[in-house]
Amino acid sequence: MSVFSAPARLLTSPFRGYADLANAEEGDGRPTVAGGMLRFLFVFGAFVSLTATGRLAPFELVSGIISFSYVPVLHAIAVAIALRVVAPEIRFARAFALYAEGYGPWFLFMLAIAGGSLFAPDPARLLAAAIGWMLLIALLWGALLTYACFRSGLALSRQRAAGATAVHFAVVAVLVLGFFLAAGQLLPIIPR
Amino acid sequence: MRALSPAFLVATALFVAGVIGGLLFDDAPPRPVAHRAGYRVLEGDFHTHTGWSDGSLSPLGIVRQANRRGVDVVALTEHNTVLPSKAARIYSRIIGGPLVLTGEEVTTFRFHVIAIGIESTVSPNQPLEGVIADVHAQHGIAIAAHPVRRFWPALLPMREKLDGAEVMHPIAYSERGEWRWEDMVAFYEQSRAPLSAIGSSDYHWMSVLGLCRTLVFVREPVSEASVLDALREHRTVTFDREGKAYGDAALVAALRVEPYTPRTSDYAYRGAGTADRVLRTLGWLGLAGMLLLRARKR
Repeated sequence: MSVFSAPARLLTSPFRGYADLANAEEGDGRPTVAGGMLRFLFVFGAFVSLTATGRLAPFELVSGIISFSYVPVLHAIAVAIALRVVAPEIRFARAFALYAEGYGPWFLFMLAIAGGSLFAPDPARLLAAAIGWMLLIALLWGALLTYACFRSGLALSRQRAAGATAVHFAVVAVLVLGFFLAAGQLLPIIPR
Repeated sequence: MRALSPAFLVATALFVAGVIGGLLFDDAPPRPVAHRAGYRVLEGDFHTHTGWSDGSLSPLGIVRQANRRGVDVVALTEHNTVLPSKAARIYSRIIGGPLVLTGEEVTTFRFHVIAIGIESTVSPNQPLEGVIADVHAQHGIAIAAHPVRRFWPALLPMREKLDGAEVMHPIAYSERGEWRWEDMVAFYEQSRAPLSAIGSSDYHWMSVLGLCRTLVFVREPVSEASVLDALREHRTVTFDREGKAYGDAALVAALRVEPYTPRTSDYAYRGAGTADRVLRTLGWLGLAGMLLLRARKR
């Protein structure tokens, strides 16, 4: 058994890693919904604090967790809808618990940005040059892990796994754009 | 349930050390009272965003960050809504933080205008003339946000009706494509009517709130109203990266006689010494360890 966490193992072997996770016994590294969501929010809070203050300031850590608590909820909605459309026979809690183990690319992204902010001699120049690429890599890597979750973790066929991945990303996009639309921030910036 | 692995425990301990460092060293620079030309000098940042749109901090976090960066007065200017700035104002009053001006960045495809000192959201779904009129009807201040050339078709015909224009902005540190800092300077300098020269950070994330800041020359007692009066009467100065001053000519001359150095205006994270740097490094390593290492014993 590896010394690395499940999100770290999934980074290098997403399909085998998800198959192992799906077969894990209860209490033996079997993922849970609460565990996955809390870990993601914990990292997000730490990321907000480190990038804003250069430290793990408790107030910023906690307020980052609270402010961005909608992000895993949004992902949960996307997974629920993807299952409803593509694989209604699968239990949501099991699916989302597995899905939330696949945040590794985003953890690396946040660690790298926070590390760059803290240790680079000229963080602004470094991040301006690298952040676009890092975001793209995290997005593509994350999409691969989402597909692996549906394919190996939930044992869907290739077609259904691809369909579930596509529906998931479409729902996330619609929810994000819907928020900005409702907040009055989207329509005014569209050329007319 | 299996016990935690030793490696994970070490990572957790490092993280906790980082949090202790965050508690011990999260300070703010002193804010000595300064006067020039018969006015009280305040350092202001009039363009900041929160997690409500594309920022990272909460409205409360903006107040704390302004304090951390030595800013006396901050305007929270979320895209097309005034609401988060009201939360920040309440919080700052409770904790005795920096002066908070309510505001909004009226954000459209054709122009961006900072509206500060307003209580109701100004609609972006109208021509610039209507936006400025709505801001002034609320006794607010209208400032051209990052007036680069792509916004000129809308901004130029109305320039003399604005109260101010951003002259310094992080664009000056990382120009990209059509977002050229020289255009902002030209927009300000070619105005036929006086404009308040504004330096703003357009803060979204990282440390840089107050990177570009405005010196505001206010009459005492200091209040939100006295700051708005100063902005309305163009009593501001801002500096570019080389230290060149932009703003009211008499105030710029006064600063030549008796210079004023802003408290912080850099990208760097302030460190309180070796212990601070060590603890923040340990905290980051601890976070990495907690994420990458298996939590339970094999």
